[in-house]
Amino acid sequence: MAVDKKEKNTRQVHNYQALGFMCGIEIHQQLSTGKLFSRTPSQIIDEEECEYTVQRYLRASAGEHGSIDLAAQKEQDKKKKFSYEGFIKHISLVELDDEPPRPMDHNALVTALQVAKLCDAHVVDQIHTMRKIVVDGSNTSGFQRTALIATGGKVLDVAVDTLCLEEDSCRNMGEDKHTQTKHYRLDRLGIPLIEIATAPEITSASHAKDIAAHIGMMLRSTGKAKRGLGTIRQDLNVSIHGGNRVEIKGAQDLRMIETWIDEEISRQLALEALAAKTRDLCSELVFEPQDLSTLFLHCESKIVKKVLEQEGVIMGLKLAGFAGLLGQELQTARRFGTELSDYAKAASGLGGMFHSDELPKYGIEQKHVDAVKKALACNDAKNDAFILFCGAKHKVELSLQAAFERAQRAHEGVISEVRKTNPNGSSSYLRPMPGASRMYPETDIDVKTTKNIEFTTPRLLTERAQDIAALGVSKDVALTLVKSEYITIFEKLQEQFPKIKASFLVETLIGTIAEIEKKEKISLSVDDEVLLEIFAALDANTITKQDIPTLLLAAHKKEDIASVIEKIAASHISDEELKKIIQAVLDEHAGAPFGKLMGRTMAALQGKGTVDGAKVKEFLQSMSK
Amino acid sequence: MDAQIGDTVTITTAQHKYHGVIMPSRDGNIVLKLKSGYNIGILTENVKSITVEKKKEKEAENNKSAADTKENAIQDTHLPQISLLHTGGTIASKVDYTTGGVVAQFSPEEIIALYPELADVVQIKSKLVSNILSENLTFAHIETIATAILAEIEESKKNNTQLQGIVVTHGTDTMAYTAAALSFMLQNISIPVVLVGSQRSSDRGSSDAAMNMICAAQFAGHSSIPGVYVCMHHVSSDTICAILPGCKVKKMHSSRRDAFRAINDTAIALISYPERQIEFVHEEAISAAQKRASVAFTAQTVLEKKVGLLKAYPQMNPALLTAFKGYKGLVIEGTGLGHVPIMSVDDDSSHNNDVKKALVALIESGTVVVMTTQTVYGAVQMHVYSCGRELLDLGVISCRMTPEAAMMKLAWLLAQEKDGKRLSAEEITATMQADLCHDTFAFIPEGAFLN
Repeated sequence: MAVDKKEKNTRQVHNYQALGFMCGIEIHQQLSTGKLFSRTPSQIIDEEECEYTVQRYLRASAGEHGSIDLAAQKEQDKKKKFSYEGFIKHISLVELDDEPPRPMDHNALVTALQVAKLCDAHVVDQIHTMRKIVVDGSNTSGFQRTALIATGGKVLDVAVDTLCLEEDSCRNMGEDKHTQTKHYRLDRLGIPLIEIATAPEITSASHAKDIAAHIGMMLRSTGKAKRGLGTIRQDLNVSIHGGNRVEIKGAQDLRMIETWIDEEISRQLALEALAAKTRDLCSELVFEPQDLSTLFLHCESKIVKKVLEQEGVIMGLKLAGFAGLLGQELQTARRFGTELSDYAKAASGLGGMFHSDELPKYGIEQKHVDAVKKALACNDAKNDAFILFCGAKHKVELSLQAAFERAQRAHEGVISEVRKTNPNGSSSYLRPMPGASRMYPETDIDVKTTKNIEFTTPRLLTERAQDIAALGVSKDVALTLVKSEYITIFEKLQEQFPKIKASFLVETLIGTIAEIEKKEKISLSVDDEVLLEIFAALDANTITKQDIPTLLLAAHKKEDIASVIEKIAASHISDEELKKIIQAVLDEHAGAPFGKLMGRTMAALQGKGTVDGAKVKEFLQSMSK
Repeated sequence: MDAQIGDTVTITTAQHKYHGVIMPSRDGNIVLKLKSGYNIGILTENVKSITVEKKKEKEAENNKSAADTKENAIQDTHLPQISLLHTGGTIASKVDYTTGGVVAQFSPEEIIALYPELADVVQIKSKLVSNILSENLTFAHIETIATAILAEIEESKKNNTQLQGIVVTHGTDTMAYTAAALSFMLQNISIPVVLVGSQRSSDRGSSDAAMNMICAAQFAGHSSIPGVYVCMHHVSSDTICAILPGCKVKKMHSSRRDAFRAINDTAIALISYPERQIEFVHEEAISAAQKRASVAFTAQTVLEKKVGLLKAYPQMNPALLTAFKGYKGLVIEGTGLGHVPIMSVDDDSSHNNDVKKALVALIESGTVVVMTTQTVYGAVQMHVYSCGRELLDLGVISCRMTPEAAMMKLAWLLAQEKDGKRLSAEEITATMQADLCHDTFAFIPEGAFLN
């Protein structure tokens, strides 16, 4: 397959090849089959209020090798309580971790095998479901169930390392700071995800976007990919020469992929530059935090005031020689100080670090800065910097410790870590890169041998667009159709009603529906079964093409479509009656021009029922001969 | 070269090459752990060649060192002293990678290492009593547990230490049977004995083991309420544990955390988590327990092994009853108010005559037959219908208890002798129907149904 190499991107800020740019992507696509390990529907529930909640704690547990995972331990240090929102009819005991998992959903498994086939990957002989430890509470079990389905495929010119089938996590519903409770909703938990991880063979930001787009299209070709916001998520693994592998999570918007990558390259370059400057500084850093609360008793800063009122503390730490470095820009609107602050927040939940490169600011005045410098023995001549945190004492101490440890590692340059995307194209630190020990076998699920599972390989949407174009539909419209949610029903209609022209089906599904939506200012929702019913009526000549918009709107309003069809059919003038009326007009206006005859006929039909104009014309032509 | 478990290998199949470490397999095919952490299976028939890249390295003994540290850890001597007896079960188990199942493997020291919070609750002395999953439990195991409890009490007396209570880790499958048996065996005990288990294995982050264990230790160490109890989740949330009466408890769900319920009754106490506040909710049961503890403590820890349990059902096979011939006792889970299909009223029910014949023969052969109900809630009342009355006439003893408790009580009772002689039929009937240790449904509170 040829690579789509068109350079849409004019803002190529980096010379990827010279930088030793390496990039791989991981794509997670939700499936619309049942949940992977329970027979619950894969349905997101939009209701604001849930029907019940369940409270749980999670503990770090030893994996297969007896050692506790680093990332898991970090989360447990935070001692979080988790609250799970449930719905009586939609959530089963499996999601609540109150029942062992059921065997893997067959449709989800078949879809994964289809995708493996589409990217030419080798399906494993036997699938072993694994537990991947996750202690942030997003899985009630404390782990995510995941299984490797295939390895070693290809997408365009990039190798696919692995194809996995795993369960999605709970939806994050925010955190209550006072009770230290993280809220999750159980609706998303267990929805099957196909995860495709490419090799780090992507050569540029735009290449990454093309690969992501192609994988997305491939996944949708199965007809089982869920649609809508959040149903497909990309993770980007980025490194440059001299940098380190960084995983950027939550790239949901295809259009932003290039920006996130370019911004990460900028960050890695800036960190490398910073490493050179801090080579001798880091080993000299000393952790001697001091309580500086008394220096801020008359401070106007709102945050400071509030903290002191709540009997919190303001503590500071000297970072010798770091002046000017904390304010060093790494990404759009993000400085090295922001990185320290991220690490602090990850450790204690307390963000909002002040540092000497940005002060005086935020109501903290020069006199405070001077007092802090004096208290911490910061020497301007030696470029000493300081950082400040304010809040509950134990949190401030945790924050200072984490920020200090990050500063100590400045000389390492880029640290291999997991980050999350920000809407402006930058990213924030999320957690350390998890180790390999975080997976162990899910013993509640039997091993599945793949050789006798039967399935058909779907044709790619792009190939199907070509097929449709060959039926006399314009290329653009065909592409629009295959990308739309109507492709599956189109193919079904085409198969069931070969008499109806494909171009008319496309026109209805793409054009007519869009027109109705525009005119009525609605987002039309018509079930596939109803569409089948409507086109069956058209196929049987019970209704005419002109009746379809009326029926679609009626279907949207959830009216009983069979009775609407019946009503329309009853109002139609029968062929026999039409012939009678035309004959009467011909008799009266013998020899008149065709236009006049047509006009007279239409006038005569007025009030007698509905009839297709094309049919009148056809009858008139043949009868007037 | 022969590849062994733990070796790093390259396996070539017709289509592909895999690198990884060989893991134990259950079906004879190859399980390979890839570098990514995933396991995959390769059918032996598809293997072209296996090349060993690296032999297995000796394992670092992580677990042992963790346990060692804990053993040497200084315990807070101001905290109450409890004994922790380990008998197996999910609460102290982890994945066995050879069988793929969950098996009990932790030593008592490792249990303490697993739940470091226990060090803030009590001082612990732990002992391994047995190491089986409770589905494989026999009466002999229950006797061993009872003996171990007595030994702990004896030892504390000898060492002049203040033993406040005993926690017994136990698998949940048959915990209700052990709890009931211990209730009869140790009915005058002066300290709390708390059985604790978990419904989610302790090797997973979401396990209920830690919370159940901590609440059990809290009750054993701090409540001073004598008697035998079960401590498990009261609700699905990790917020409250219930202390349930040992001879009314039943496992009411195969998988939920809050599976254990007091049948026809309420919990004795509720314990909030993580605050560990004990709320006593059954004053009557508690004062009765304290009264029993004021009697001089004697224990009878032998069980009659030839005691069985049988469920009645339509078209019941009479051979089931006959099979218990030679047994000293049989508890029947009757239908409804305590019935077995023994009455023939038309041609279609003539089969029931055979059931009756088998039952009569069994009773005549000397087997004590006790009736409970399979409805779970409610109790038997055998004077209401003619079937019940006839069963009573045949010599069936009606017993207002859970089937589990009735069976263990019967096994405990039939193992006893009085002045070297077996108990008389009257004595057996009277004792089975008497409330010894909060075991019978004297009256059933309205709110006790499906609570």
